Amino acid sequence: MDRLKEFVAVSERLTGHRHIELMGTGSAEEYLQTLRRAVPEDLVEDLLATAHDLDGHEDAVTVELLADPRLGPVAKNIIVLWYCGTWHQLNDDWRQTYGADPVDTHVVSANAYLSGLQWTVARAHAPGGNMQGFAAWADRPAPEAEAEPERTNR
Amino acid sequence: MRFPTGAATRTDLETAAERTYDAVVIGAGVSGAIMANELSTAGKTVLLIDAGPGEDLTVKGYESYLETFYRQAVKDNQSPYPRNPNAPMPRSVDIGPVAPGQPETSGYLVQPGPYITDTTYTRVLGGTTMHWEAKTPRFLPEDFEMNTKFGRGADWPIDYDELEPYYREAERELGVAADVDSQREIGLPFPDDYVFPMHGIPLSYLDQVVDTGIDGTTVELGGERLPLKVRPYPQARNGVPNPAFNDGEGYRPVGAVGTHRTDEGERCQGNNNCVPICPVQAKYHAGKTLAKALQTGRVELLTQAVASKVHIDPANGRVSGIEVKVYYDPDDPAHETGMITGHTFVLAAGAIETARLLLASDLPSTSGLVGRNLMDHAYLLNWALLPEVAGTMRGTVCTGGIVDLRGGGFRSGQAAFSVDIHNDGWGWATGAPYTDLLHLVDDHNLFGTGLRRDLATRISSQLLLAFMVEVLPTETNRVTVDPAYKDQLGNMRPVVSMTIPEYSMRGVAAARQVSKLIFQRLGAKDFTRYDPADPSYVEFDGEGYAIRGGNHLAGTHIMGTNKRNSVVDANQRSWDHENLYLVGGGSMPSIGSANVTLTLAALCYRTAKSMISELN
Ligand SMILES: Cc1cc2nc3c(=O)[nH]c(=O)nc-3n(C[C@H](O)[C@H](O)[C@H](O)COP(=O)(O)OP(=O)(O)OC[C@H]3O[C@@H](n4cnc5c(N)ncnc54)[C@H](O)[C@@H]3O)c2cc1C
Ligand code: SF4
Repeated sequence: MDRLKEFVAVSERLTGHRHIELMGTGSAEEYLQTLRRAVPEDLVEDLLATAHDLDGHEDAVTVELLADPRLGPVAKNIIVLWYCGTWHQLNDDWRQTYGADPVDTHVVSANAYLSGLQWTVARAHAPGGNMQGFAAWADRPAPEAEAEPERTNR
Repeated sequence: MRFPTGAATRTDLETAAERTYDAVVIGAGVSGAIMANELSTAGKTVLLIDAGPGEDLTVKGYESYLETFYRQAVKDNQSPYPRNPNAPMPRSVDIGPVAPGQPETSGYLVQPGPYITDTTYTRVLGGTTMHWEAKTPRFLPEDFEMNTKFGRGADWPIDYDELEPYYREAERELGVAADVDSQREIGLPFPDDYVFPMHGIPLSYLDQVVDTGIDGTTVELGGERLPLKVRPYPQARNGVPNPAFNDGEGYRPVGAVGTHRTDEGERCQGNNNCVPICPVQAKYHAGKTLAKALQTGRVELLTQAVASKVHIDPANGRVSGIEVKVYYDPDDPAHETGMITGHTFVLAAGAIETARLLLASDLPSTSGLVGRNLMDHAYLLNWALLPEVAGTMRGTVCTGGIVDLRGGGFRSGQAAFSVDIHNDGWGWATGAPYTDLLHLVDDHNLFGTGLRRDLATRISSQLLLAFMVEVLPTETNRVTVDPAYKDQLGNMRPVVSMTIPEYSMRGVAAARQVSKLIFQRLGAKDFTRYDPADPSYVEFDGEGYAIRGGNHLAGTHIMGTNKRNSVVDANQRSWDHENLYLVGGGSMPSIGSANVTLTLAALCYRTAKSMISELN
């Protein structure tokens, strides 16, 4: 599988969004690039492989991935990337321990900001873009699209 | 709205310095733009000077503000506007941690403290309206008579009835959308046949949820029982034009400003981004009036020009000229200095900058009130989670609120307030929804569909009530200057000393109680926390509150009945300098609990009329 496909597959599980929803943002490649710029390649590989191995063991994701001192902060950052379009700077200690470059907190691109999943899950839109039209705000919000039930840690 | 090509660069300092204009106007915000438009339409020549970067207002230029905004990781309310050390502006993110007893100097405003305000204004062509939210309520009749009615603050030298026709002019220019009956209900008199240019903007679903929940609730203030009800705000943004406007002439909404023909009058799309920038220019900004003024052919615009000193003729006190510093590049302090002359001068640089300029010029003042009585609304934020999904994060920033507590006999004892229901959730208070996501991921280890579900609920059931509390004129709340603090061009920065008067703090305390009552009626869980380490934290009666700045700056050159009790007369003319007018919020002797811009625009129409007859 190519790197992008693996990345999106892992992102599906981390964000609770389907492949088509993630690709629909148009930001997948930028996010993968951002990730590769910010953390060493072997770490990216390990993260993707670990997530892949945990397929079907959702209960273990919290312990083996999110709570893992090396992989956890990066996995969480992938979630933040998709939801906000923002790369959140990893803290100094972590970067020193695992040899990562200091990539500052930044919005990946204008598109990344506009396509953040935080807006779609709230049945809203990013302030300043993708608006819903005059007076749409007066209506009851649309129900949230059904997410896949098995991909949950609840 | 067409901006004449090249208008921003048509003149230069050398050419302008050679002419004598009928009027020289400092500041191209809404005040300056209205003055320039009125004067030039009446045949007068005008030089309009602005400190902000000087390019024609184009759709492309506007979009570059938008692009800058999208890409900022921290979207504070000045984020679309690039930094300009030659004409700096306050930014909330610049305020550093303040050491006790030390002044706050990391932001543009120097603040001795202990209370530090995060209030802002914008120094770009179009001024702070590029960035404002565009709520446009009128002041109540009683707001003009605070002293007579409540024994508090000061009376205006004019009353509501005198300003009423000018309110209508301002509502036409700003393009206000409102239903007149909803405004009559709160005690505002209008002519019988009046309608606003556009129909009211509909209340959001969130407003409706709150209104249903608080139905029948009353609060007691100063022995009076007052009802709580959600009512729509008048707003200067494009909605549905009212065909009955102006005796059946109707109203044509004004759209994006650019040097090419653009689609007229795009309607508000509910971007929820009015602050800091409306992507489709459905919201009024002063560029719209500025473009109109430039079309008269009698207005010249000098940009990147910072007015630095007002010169007077000591023999008669008249202004003889204004010294300006023109820079070429915001990052480079290199500049030329020149003297601008005219028959009359209008300072419209905003309440803080106008006072700063007068004080830096070291002019004599009979009343000694220049810079004093600085006012701004004190905002108290209260936030909670509703028990149901209420569609938060959609619509304009605010469509409705509770405004029945704006007036009443209780004002003899405590400040009045209005309550905004924020359609953009907890953003202002907590940085939501970003902070909600971090909280759920980092603290709760949520991921996948669990995260998706919890985040969706958490965002779309947020309720933020912003209480806008009245602040009365207090002489010790003031702007001064100090040669120890200068900007890159060598102009002295404003030194701002503010405390929240006790009268207002009583209003703040009542506001907190009202918010608790509302949350209780709605079954909402209160998440409000005020951090004692917040530089805007204020203690009162054993409780602590974080008081946010209101961005409604006023009162640094208040108007009054004589040269000892005020800086300007009822026409905003300086008592001490016959050919000098100081316009804008600074002239207001009180601010009630209404956003100030519609009223300052109305004042400008009134002043323009008297200036024109004076010039004739
Ligand atoms: C976030 C925010 C939200 C707001 N929301 C509302 C609202 O909903 N309703 C409302 O009524 N009001 C609102 N306001 C307030 C409103 O924006 C101001 O009241 C209004 O814009 C003031 O207009 P003005 O023309 O008097 O001053 P400004 O708009 O501040 O214009 C002053 C102009 O003078 C120029 N200038 C400054 N110094 C100099 C100098 N030395 N030389 C030359 N030029 C100079 C500046 O570049 C600027 O263009 C809001 C403000 C903010 C910041
Ligand atoms: S809600 Fe959006 S479209 Fe409407 S005025 Fe505000 S920013 Fe503009």
